[in-house]
Formats: sequence, structure tokens, C-alpha cells
Amino acid sequence: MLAASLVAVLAAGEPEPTAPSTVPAVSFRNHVVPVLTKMGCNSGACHGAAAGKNGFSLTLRGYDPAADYDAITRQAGGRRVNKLEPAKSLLLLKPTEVVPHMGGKKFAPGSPAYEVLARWVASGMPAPSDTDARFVSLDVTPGDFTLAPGTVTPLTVRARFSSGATEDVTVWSRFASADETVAQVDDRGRVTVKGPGETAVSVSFLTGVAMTRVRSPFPAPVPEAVFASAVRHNRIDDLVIAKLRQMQIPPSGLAGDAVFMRRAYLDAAGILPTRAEVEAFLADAAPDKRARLLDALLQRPEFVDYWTYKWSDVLLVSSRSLSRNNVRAFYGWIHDNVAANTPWNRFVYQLTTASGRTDENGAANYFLIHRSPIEIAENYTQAFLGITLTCARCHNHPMEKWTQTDYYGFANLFARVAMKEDGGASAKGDTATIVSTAEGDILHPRLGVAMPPRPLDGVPMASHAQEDRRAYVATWLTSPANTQFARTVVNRVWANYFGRGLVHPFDDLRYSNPASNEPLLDALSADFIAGGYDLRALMRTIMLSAAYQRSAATTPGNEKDDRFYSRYLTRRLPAEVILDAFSQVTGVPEDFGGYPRGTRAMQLRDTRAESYFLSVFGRPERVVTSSAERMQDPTLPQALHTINGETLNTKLMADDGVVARMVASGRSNDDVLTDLYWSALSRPPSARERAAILARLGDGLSADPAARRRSLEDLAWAVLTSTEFLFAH
Amino acid sequence: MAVRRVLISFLGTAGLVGAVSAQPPVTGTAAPPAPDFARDVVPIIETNCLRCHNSAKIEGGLLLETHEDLMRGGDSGSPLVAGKPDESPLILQIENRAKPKMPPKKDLQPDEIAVLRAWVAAGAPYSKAAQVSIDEKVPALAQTAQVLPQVTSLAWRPDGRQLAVAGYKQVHRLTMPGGAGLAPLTGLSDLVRAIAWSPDGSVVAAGGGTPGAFGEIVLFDAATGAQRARLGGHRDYVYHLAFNHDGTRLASCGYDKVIRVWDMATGRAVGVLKEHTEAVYAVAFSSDGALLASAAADRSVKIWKVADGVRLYTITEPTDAVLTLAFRPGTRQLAAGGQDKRIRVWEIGDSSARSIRSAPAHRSAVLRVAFSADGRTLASTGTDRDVKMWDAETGKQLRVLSPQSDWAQALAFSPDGRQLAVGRYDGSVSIYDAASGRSVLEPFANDKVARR
Repeated sequence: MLAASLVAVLAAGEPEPTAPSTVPAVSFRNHVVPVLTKMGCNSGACHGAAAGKNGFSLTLRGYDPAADYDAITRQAGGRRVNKLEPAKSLLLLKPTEVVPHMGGKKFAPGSPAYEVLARWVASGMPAPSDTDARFVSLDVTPGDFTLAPGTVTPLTVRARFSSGATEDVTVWSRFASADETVAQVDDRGRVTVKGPGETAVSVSFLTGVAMTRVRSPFPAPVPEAVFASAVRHNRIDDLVIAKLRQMQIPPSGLAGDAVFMRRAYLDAAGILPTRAEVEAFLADAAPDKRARLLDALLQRPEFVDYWTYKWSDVLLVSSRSLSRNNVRAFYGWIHDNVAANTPWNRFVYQLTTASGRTDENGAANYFLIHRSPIEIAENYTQAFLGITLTCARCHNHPMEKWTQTDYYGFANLFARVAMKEDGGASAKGDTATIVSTAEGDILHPRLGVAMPPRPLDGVPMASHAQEDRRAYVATWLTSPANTQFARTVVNRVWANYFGRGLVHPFDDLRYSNPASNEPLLDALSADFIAGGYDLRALMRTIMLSAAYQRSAATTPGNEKDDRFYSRYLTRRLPAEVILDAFSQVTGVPEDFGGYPRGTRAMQLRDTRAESYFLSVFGRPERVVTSSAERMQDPTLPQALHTINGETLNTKLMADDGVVARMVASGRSNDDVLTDLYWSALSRPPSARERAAILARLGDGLSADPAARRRSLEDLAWAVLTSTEFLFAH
Repeated sequence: MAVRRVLISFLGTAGLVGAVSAQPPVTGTAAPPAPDFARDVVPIIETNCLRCHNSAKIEGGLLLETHEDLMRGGDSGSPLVAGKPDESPLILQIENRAKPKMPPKKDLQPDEIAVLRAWVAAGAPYSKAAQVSIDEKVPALAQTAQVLPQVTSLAWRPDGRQLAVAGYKQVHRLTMPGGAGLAPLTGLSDLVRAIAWSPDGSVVAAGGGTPGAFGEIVLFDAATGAQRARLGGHRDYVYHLAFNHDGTRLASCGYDKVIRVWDMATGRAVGVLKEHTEAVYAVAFSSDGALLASAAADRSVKIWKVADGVRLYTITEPTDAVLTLAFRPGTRQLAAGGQDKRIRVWEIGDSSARSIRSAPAHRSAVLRVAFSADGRTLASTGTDRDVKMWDAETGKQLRVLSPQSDWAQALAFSPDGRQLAVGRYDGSVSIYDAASGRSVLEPFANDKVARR
């Protein structure tokens, strides 16, 4: 009674609130948060920054609606909303710039964004609750379409909720085009085709990501006969040609034998064929000579070195975190497995479950390099699944579906590994022993509890399972059902041979970054799985294809193609390959401290071996697993170092080098020139080159030996700094 | 247009309320007519300058929200030399003639520069804008739900016979123990954030303001309910008010990061304490009135000497925003709590603080702490919706009050220590028996809409 009278007293004379209207309720979780995300309020540059902005902090892209609700309605004394006069809420005054807003004017009164926020405040600011309908999935239409440049297509995005309801959320979705030269998309989801090619437009709403593919064929129609008559060596070619037909891009013809041979040697083993090898290959008249060349190449020790180096990049073999003995053991383990062509699934399974002394079981060093479940979780998914999970460490992934819960569930799979150090406290201690333990969890930092160990999109382990967690994750990863595992390595290998992955960048296999030829990646991956994860067989199939053997020269209509494999893509050789080629052609090996003389760069166990040349040309540091670690971009220091740096000039001027030996041998300049061309470029000089060069050099036999040597050094320098030499083509 | 007009009102308001500000006279007619400050100059400044030179950011220490600000200047002195545009840094800046150059988002338009130049040349005269309320600048938006304003503050009259309840634009007073309502104290622009009763019971101070615009403090005559004075100067919400032991000083703090100490005899700010780097949520005088403690979002507690406004030291123990603090009556012990979920207690010395206790108190942020008048009991509330009672001497938890319907944001012991008043975000108020923790007055609701 007393209470009732109090209410009556307090409320006396004050107007009653307007009667509730019948407009549908606004959900904080499903309506307000998407508005804040769409308008950029909770972006990393604004209130989504860890420290917030001007005292107002939201979770990045709304990953924690409960926290955002508190921040908006209650924190800072509830200054951001006005319960009684909703229009006077800062939540509305700031973005409409009725009061000054550092972020500027984001929307106007009456706009859809304003209406959602205003209706929510006016309806009493209902809080997110456990009974809210939850977002389930996202659907974008059209899902795949072909258009001519200049045309505009509106996308429609629908979200499905756990209540069974679907809503058109186009206006609240965020859009991004993977390649804006092909298609652009505005914030209303209208796609404008800009040029020929194919790209993905990704759409995100709440935690959902959807994707559509936009295709615009090249403008000049290509006669059907071009595709019908295109050379096909195997199944790869059927799928490449089908794509080229769809895109109306004519393929270039096949490369000649010498070009093919040089290319295959460089791509598969990082070496140049010798003059004798090239000449023998050219003289071989058998129709299957390319296949036989590949069979032999894949058995060469240099092939083993090359791929050991590649996988050492991926697995971060480095003396940065390992002792000399451990580096040797880890490298040795990889080398042995490459030499034995261990199936990829078995290789990765062994790596994942490795235990024992790190100097005896080299694979165990993977757990010495990665000191925490966090580090492993991130590098492991990058290496073997092409997934960058890092963002989800601190918040739900802004571009992908991975949540922080997914992240810590996955990281927890690596929480039960222990290291017993045998040589002191640091990892540099000579050896350590890796063991699986029965206890230990990594906690979700926000929730403060351990997530059930769970592979990405996989089945969580039973809460009290005693099974080895590493065995569980390894089994899941390498299962034939996990096609992404196969796709990732197939794409890595493909990128090695074609200079660009079917998925680009080659370790970015997120859902919204599809392959330029999905059927091809699917088919190759399925074959790879069916064939027992045989890397050498995969490489043989790839190099046998007409697609790989195509000329690097363009044909009218395919000049702009850089991703559908209508021609071989020229590219600068990797740092290690160039340095080894310099050594090979000049006959002067590089000196790497601590390694025996004659060691090639591709044989280095560790990327910390001192070499200015390798550093300048972008050798990876092996700190994090990422395709971005190897720098392929040309730089000015590279050019300057090639022109007048010590690496090449020292080799050219060496007394035991090829130039000195040729001068001493008494051979003519013509001979020297021809030999140099064969060994460096795998071809003889053309008549024009020969005439022009010899006109300058004379026959050389009558000249002063010192002067002649200088001239020949200049000639060799010119050849070895040429684009033809430095590039794969 | 809406943007500019509202800010005109803001500039006018701040100027009006400023109790001690001397306004330059409005100049007479001149030929050609000089630009008018309110009509011509203010819109240009709002559009071009206020994003950075506002009270929340104060880039370069330069604030340009009022005419007074323009005259006073920032870190590098006054931006204007009246009558001499070519010697005024502000004019040189916007004409791109000054070094170092400030980093504006975009240059001003030539006509805008011309207006400012002419106005400075004419002596930079002030003119008062017609006050335009923010109410007129926002679209109509009907409240569609039954909601009550949050209760952010409760204050007992020192004799315990009345309880003041912060409401929307007004302060309610209830006679206690019965709870009968008296006429509300009215005249505030927005939600009342803070109430304090002077020690002799003659004055009720109410603080609040319009977020993002200005803060206000109104002193009411408790006997008549009439407004005695308005204390202007805060540039954003006032979060907390506290009287010293003898009622000669009132301390206020707010979102503008500033603490003001007012002389109650003159209504002047005798201290303007500006060292916090984020919102200041609470202030408290020591029992003897010699020290002032402040709690802020910058994760610090600062201790000030009241006599001269000098900061004695800063306590940086808290690991997140500090939302509340209170001196234990009769001692120099200070309790504080905040986002880091802990209640910390220090012995406050003249040059340093000694930690007495630091313990997790709530499952989430601590919102309020309050001591009983005898200093034996400490009460606390948290965003976990708990209200807890602690033995102030040992830190032992005595009891948890019955489940709260929402965040308890207001907390006040009756002067005799027998009752504890609790106000909540959902607008409800409860009175508990402090000894038993039982509710002695059923929850009642704060006022409903008080429009305009």
C-alpha cells in the first residue's frame, strides 16, 4: 500500500508515456549491432578500438553484444542514452552531428540507421537476452553471375535466424570485392563490373560471411576452334581450357624443349641444367622425353634440397629458437621425408604428434619453436589449412566466420604438450624432450574458462577424454574428409610451379577468397587424396600438363591474363635460386659461414646463415608461417646490389672462376660466348647477339690477357644481370 | 543547419551560466558592419574547429567552444589579437601562413576566412545568441515503452528526516520514514546525476547537465525549494558532488575530466583541478576537510590538498576505471572501487597512501561504495546486481542484500546508520534495514516523464 502511494506521489501530474505502438520490436543483438557495424561505429579505427574513442568503447564489430549493451546504456553513467526523451540520446546526437562528433556525420535523422537506433531507444532499450533468436546463416543472391563491363547488379542478402525467420539484411551487410579492377561493390550491395576477369564479392553480417562470384569475360570473342584444338596433356588441361573458354582467353602455344627444361629445373629443384644436359635433351627424339626428364628430375638430390628448404620455410626451421643440434635434427627429419616422398598426411601426422628428444626426433622441434598453444594454433592453421586465425585471438574474426570461442577451442588442442629441457632454462639448451601430458588447458580470456578442445568446424573432444589431444587434431586434420588440408598443400605446390596459386595468396584459403579455377583445385585435391597424398606424383602431373608447358609469350587476347593460366607467368627467381645460379655459372661457390665450401643456398638448414644477397632478395625470416614472409617484390637495393654489389662481381673476378679459366684455356671468344649462353640461359646466342658481341670483343686471342679478362667479365656480368637470366620464363 | 543552431545555444548557455565570466560589451554599429559573433562567426568555428578543439579533446590545449575560450587561448597563448588580424595566430593559421601548421581536416573557404578576419579586425566583439534548446533541434521521437529514469543518486538530509532522490530534470524529496512526497526541486536540463545535502541541511546541490554539451550544478534552498544559484563551468555531465565537513566547500567533477571546488559563500570556483586524463566519476572530502580524493576513468585516484588545490599524489593501483570512492568517517581511510571488480582501502597520508586492503568484491564492476556514519560498515554495489555489506574494519563480508532488479547506482546510509537507501538503473528505490538486510519499504519507482 505504501509503495503504491509513493508511486502515485512521485508520478503525480506527469504525463503518461505514449501507448506502446505495434511496430515490430527492435533487437539489440540482431538489429542494433548490425547498424553499429555497418555504420563503422564499432570498427577498429573508431569505438571498436581496444581503447575506444573519447571514453566510449564498443567490441570490435559487435562480437560481444552484452558488453556493447552495457557500454551504450549504462557506462559513463548512462550518458549515451536518454530513456525518457529518446531523441536526445547521445547515441543519436553524435552520429547525426547535432553535437560535435570526431567521427563526423554518419547518418541523418530519418535514415534507416537512425530509425533502428531511435526505435530501439524509444522502445525502452531491450537488452540482448539468452532467448534472442540467433543468427544462423547468410544467403546472397545472385550467387554466381556473368556480366559485361559497365553493368550493375544489385545483391540481395538474407539472414536466417534460429527462430526460423529470415530477414532481408542487404542494407546492414558489409560488402567487399576481392579485385576492384574486375568489379566494385558499393555499401548498398550494388555490383558494378569494371573489367574482364573474375572476382569474389564477400558479404558479411553479424558473424556470417557469404560470397558471390562475379565474372566478366574478356571482350574479344575467341573462336571455338582455338579451345577445341588447344593441346591437352592431362586432366588439368581439360579444366584449364574450360575456364579459358568461359573467360574467352586464348591460350599461348607450348614452350620449346630448352625453355621447358630450364623452367622445370628451376621450379622443381632450383638449379640450371648444364649445357650438356640441355644438348642431350634437345638431341633426344623420343616423344615421351619430357615425361622422362621429369621422372629423372624428381629423383635428383637438388629436388630434395629444394623441397626440404620449402617445407623448412613453412615449419619455421631456424636457429632463432633452436640450438644448432636441434636445427640439424629438424632439418634432417624433413630432408629424410622429402627424400622418401613420405605421404603428406603421414608427414603432418608425425609432425603433429611428435614426442621425444628433439635431437633424436627432429619433428619434436616444432613444439620447441612454438612455445604456447596460441603460437601453434596460428601457425599450424596457416601452414596446413591456409586459415589465418590470428584475429580471433582477441575478438571474433572480422572477415571470417571464426569466433573467439572457435579459436580457444582449437588452441586448447595443443594445451597438453610439455617440454622437459635438458640443457638449462632456454630453448637454446642443447636438447629438450617433448611429451604429451594428461592435464592443462588454455583459458578463453574473456570467459575465463577453457573451451572444449575442438578442431575448426570439427567435433569437440569429450570433456573428460583422456585421448591425446594432438593425436585427435592430427587425425582430424589429415582425414580424407578434411579436403581443405589437401587443397592447401595442392595450392602451395601449384603456386610453386605456376608463380601464382589457384588461390592467391597461396596460403589464404579463407572461404571468401575462392580459387580462380575451383573445379581444377577440387579435382587435383581429390586426386591427391585418392593417390595417397603423393607430392611427387602431384608435381609430375602438374609439370606434365600443357598448362605448365605453355610459352611465356603472350598471344593476342591473353596479355592481361595473370590468373587463368593461358600462358606461363614470368617471375623473378627466388633469392636462393639466383645466388646458386650465380655460383653455378661462374663456378665460384658462395661461402656461408659454418657450412662446408660448395654448400648451395638451397642447402642451408637455417635462414639465419649470413648472406646480404639473400636478405636483400627477400629470403624469409621464418618467424611466422606466412606467404608474405618471402619478399618477391623488386627493390632498388636488389638492382644496385646486382649491378655493383660484391656478390656477383667477386665471383666474376675470381681467379678460379669461369672467366679466368676460359681465358687461361686459350679458347676463342666465340667459344666462351657460346658456352656462357648455354650454361646461363640454356640456349646458344642468336646470330644477331653473337655478331654484335663478337664485333666488340674480337676473337680475343690476340688481346692482352688482362684486358681480355676484364672484357669477358663484363660480358658475363651482362648475361647474369639480364632479365632473361634472373627470371623464370 | 540543425548542427549549427544547437551549438549556438550551447555557446550562449555556457556564457550565460558562467558565474564569474566577464563578457565583453557588444560593439556598437560600425561601417561596414562587422560580422556578428553569434550569427556569423560561431557557425564557422563549429563547422571547422570544434571537432578537435572541444572540451573532450582540447587539441593543443586550445578550446574554442565559447567567446571566453577564444579570448583565453591554449598552450601557445591567445589565438586572437583584437583589432589585429595579421598578428592573430588563428587568422594566420587558417590563411596557411603560420608554422608549425596545425593539422586541419580541410582548409576553410575564402569567404569563411574573410568573415573571421573582418571580425577580428573589428575587435573580435562578443554577441549573445538567442538560446536555442537542443529540444528544438531533434526530431520528435515518441517513447513507446513504460520506462523510468535511472536513479543515480540518493541523499539523506543530515537529520535523516528527508531523502532526496535524483530524477529526470528534478529532485524528489520524501519525508522519512514514511516516504510521503514533497514538491520536487525543478529546473535542471536533463537527468540529475548527483545530489548532495549541505551539512546544516539548508542547501540541496544537484548536478547534471546535457551530455556532450554542458554540465550544470543548481543549488536549491531546501526550505523553500527555490533555486539559490547555478554554478557554471563544467563542459559536460557532472557526475558527483560532495560537501566538505562544514559546508563551506562543494566539490564537483564530471565527464570533462575537471574537478571544481566551489566557495559556497561566493559561488565562485576557488579550485579548478585539471590533471585527470579521463572522466572523473567521484570526489570525496576527508573528514577534516583538508584533503580531497578523486576517482577517474584514467584508472587513478588522486589526492589533493583542498587549501591550495595542489595534487599531493596519485594512486595508480587500480587496473581499470575507478568509479566510486568514500572516506571512512573519523579516519583517513579511503575506499575505492571500479571496473577492476575490487574494493581497495588505503590509509591516506600527506605524501603517500598505504594500502590496507585490496580484495575482489563483486563478480563484475564495483559501482558504488558508502560508509555508515559510524564508520563500522561499508556497503557496495556492483554491475553483478549485488548489494553487499562489509565490516569496514576487517573487510569481512557481512551479508548480501536480496537480489536487485537492476544495477544499483545509488547508495546512501541514513545518518543514524540504521537504513540503507538503494537506487537502481530501472528507476526503483528501496530502503533496507542495515542490520538485518531486510527491505523495510517496498520498492518504489522514481518519477516518470518530466517533459521540459
